[in-house]
Amino acid sequence: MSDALVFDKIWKEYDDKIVLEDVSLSIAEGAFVSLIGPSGAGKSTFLRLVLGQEAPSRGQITFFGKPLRAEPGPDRGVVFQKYSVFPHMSALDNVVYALDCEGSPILSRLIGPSRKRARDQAKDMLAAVGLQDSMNVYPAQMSGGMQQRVAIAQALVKKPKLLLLDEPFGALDPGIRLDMHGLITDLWR
Amino acid sequence: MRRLLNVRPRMSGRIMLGAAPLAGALLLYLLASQERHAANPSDKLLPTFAAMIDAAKLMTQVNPNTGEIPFIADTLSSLHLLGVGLLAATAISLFLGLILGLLPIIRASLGPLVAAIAVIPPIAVLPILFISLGLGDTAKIALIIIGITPVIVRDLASHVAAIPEEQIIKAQTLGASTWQIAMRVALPQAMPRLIASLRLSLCPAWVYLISAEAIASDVGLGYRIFLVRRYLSMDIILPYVLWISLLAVAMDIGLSSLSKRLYPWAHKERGA
Repeated sequence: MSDALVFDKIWKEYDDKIVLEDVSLSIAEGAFVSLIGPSGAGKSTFLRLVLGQEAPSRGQITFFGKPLRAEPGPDRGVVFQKYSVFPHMSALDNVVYALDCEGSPILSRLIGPSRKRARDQAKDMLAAVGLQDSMNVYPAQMSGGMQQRVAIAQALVKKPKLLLLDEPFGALDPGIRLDMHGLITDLWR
Repeated sequence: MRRLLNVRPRMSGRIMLGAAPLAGALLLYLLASQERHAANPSDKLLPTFAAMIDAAKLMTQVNPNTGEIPFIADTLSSLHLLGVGLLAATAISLFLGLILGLLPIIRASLGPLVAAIAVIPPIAVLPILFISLGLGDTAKIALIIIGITPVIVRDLASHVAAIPEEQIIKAQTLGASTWQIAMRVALPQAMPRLIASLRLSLCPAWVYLISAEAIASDVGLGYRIFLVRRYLSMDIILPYVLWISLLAVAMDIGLSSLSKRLYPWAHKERGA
């Protein structure tokens, strides 16, 4: 298996505070990697660098053989701990929006047969995360676990090469957290 | 004994409690008016309800000199100016609020200007408007726009800027462009706030309209009350003030129900 993500001597400094110091690692394609450490260890900074939200101070990040662009893009999906879904869209619209962006640059909304196709694709994705009965519900009416399921479906429908999860189940209660771990493991396989 | 803050009136009780101060005020007015008329039958300060109804009848009759019904002409003229002013202010605010809230370059370049314009008291600008735009409708509409736009722009921009960064990042990982984020993430979330901000701006908008009408006009609700003030015609002024309040309340309720109908998700968070 080839290396998907390579960190080559990465430094990240904020003013004179060093957060990441000479980090080198490579992650194989298809791998499931967990990053653990005490708070302040630089987990979130690492995630922001992979996401492209920030650029490293020194060093080179390579993503599938190419230098990583320091801007978030559709090849790297993400699920945050919270605020990951759009509160003004139903579960279905949240997932359809991901497809709208690709197919409708000006109108920002698919119409006609392509809309129908996008909706079908989104419905399949929501069913895969167990939300077949909550397609038209708004996030505010959902439990935390359901919201995270929407966020996962929304990220996966773009078929990203890399899915980043930033403490996605941190705000959930232990029973649901176990379910979600099962869900993620299943989707990964 | 229950704590005072835990005593919640039921629906019927709430209507009674809400109506009581209004009824009390009305009763107080009646008594005061009666007392003054007992001392001086031609008192003008606190006219009786009969006198107000007579005055209202007079205002709703066709004026033989102009061929118009003053009350209708005043209302239409004021609502026209207010409507155009509010509409223009809303459109400008929405555009500026979105780009200021969403784009750091715009915030850096236009933010200080908007902040500076927002602190100028609009009424102080009125003479400039009258000089440069003439005494017609344009100056009055401009005053409404200048008066309420900066406030709405700043409110909307800070609301858009406060959209959690996670949402903006998430949209980018879904492949959204700046335009697609503006249209589908920022705009829909800005709309309920725009309506809420507009509701709060209704009262200032009326203030600017009435001020402008009072100074230079020949028709309009504000013009009329300032005209009849010269004759101490409280019997006309009071029904007009009541009418203006009713129009303002109707607009407020209209906007509020519009927001609830168009953006149900924005009103569900509590108690859902």
